[in-house]
Amino acid sequence: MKRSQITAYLPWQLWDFAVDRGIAILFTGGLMGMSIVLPGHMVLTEHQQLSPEALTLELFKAVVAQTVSIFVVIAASGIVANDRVSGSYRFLFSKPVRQPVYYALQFAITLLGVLIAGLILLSIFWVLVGWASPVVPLIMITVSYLALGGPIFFFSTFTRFDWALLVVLWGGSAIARTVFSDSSWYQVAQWILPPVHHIDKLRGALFADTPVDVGGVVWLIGYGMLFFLAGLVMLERKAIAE
Amino acid sequence: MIQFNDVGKTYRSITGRTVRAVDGFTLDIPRGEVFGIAGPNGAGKSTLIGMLLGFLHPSRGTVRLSGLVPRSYIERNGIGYLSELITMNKRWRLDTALVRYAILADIPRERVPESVERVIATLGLDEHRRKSVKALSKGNLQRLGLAQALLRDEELLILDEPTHGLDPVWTQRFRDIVNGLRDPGRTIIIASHNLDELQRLADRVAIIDHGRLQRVVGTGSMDSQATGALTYRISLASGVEEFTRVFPGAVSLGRGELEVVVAGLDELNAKLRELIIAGAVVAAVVPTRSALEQQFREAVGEPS
Repeated sequence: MKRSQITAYLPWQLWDFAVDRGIAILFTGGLMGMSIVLPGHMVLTEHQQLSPEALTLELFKAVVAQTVSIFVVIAASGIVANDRVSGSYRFLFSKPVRQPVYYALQFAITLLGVLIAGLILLSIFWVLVGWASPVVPLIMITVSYLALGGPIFFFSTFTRFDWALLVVLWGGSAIARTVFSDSSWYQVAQWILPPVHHIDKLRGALFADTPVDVGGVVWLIGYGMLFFLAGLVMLERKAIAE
Repeated sequence: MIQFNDVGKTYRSITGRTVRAVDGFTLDIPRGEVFGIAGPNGAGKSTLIGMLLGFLHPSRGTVRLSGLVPRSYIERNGIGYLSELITMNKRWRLDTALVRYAILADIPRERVPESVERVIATLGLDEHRRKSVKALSKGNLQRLGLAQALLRDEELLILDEPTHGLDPVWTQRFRDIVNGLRDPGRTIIIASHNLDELQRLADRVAIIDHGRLQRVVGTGSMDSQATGALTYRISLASGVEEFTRVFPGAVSLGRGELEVVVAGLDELNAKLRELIIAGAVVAAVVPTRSALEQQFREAVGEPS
């Protein structure tokens, strides 16, 4: 796939993301945001003496903590699987297009799309609730996308249940860490299971403005990118219709 | 141009059940040929085309396009492909769908509008250009599929059931388009259930059944003749009384039309000559089924 093809096709991929996923993310984000902000505002103003700035920040933290991962899963799921299931790969890949390059671009465009969707939702928050720095949510979207999107991308190359497998993998990891953290087997398994806890640690450090565990972030992103690369290898070696 | 060398494809289910879709398939298709693929449902046509596009890997044997594995050839050159099922994003608008495919086909940006307009005009899609894919009728969707396959002058065209859903006018138009695409440098593969269409368009037709190549039939007037008996309908303007003498086994269909069975073209011509000398006026001689259909029925084991 030549650079001219890539640059000319990128706007169309971004447009497809906006129509197919962006609207869903905005809709979900709007509903979730309201369901967090409205009761949160009532509880915090009733029981705690917070300044308006502190109140906004507390609500902002709650919204970011509860929505980012969901946006990322909505955005990244089905990147390959949707084409495989619908059969729309047939026309796409009768053109002089390499499948790994096409889907790597789609993966990158999806990150750009979810960042733009995040900014739109942030601007709604700014108008309705108050100002909060966009830096933390944009970093969290990027890191979460790379960490969670990588495994979804990999699963998407062979099953339509990519998001469900991710939920099992990350949910299983979180449960194992909570329940079996003292077990000897978990001391080994923790190096294989996704480092779920580093997402919360990173968000906490960024909001508290304390030093970030760089090694943990690298592990988190590296874990996701290993799956992403495995997905590209799958696309290169495995026939798409099989 | 295209080589299938002892190609086999076996599907395995999760439970371990195996289905052999293609078996021991060997075939060479030279550059410049219009080649047909015919076979009953489940014969393995779609699997063969899937392997030709690199969407499926053969379980054994090799498939090569100009000496390259299919994906390498397509990633370098691209092909024109019309799939049996027209599947694209239903929200896309017809004209923007073609723009996307033109970009992916590596048509230079400044020539994209011209290429899109050309195929819209060729396929008569102008009045539908602003419709979304989901709003198109079956026939218009088929024409859109064909339009994206014709965006660029490809050396290889693969058309799977190309006239499916087209009305008679566009079926004929499609035939004209394919005939216009004939070129010594271009290979066209047409997979179809429509034997009449293959007889009209293809130079040769591969008949496959149960995943195996049964025979390759030339569609020229002589070598397309089936080995068995041929059935014709003969219409007479006059001389019906002479007919039963020349063709003793003829069956009258009424209105001066009779059906006869002959061993071959030689017998048919000899008897027609005798009939005409006897004073009969022959208005039409039509095979009840094409020679290709005859071959097809023999190859797949159905009674002729």
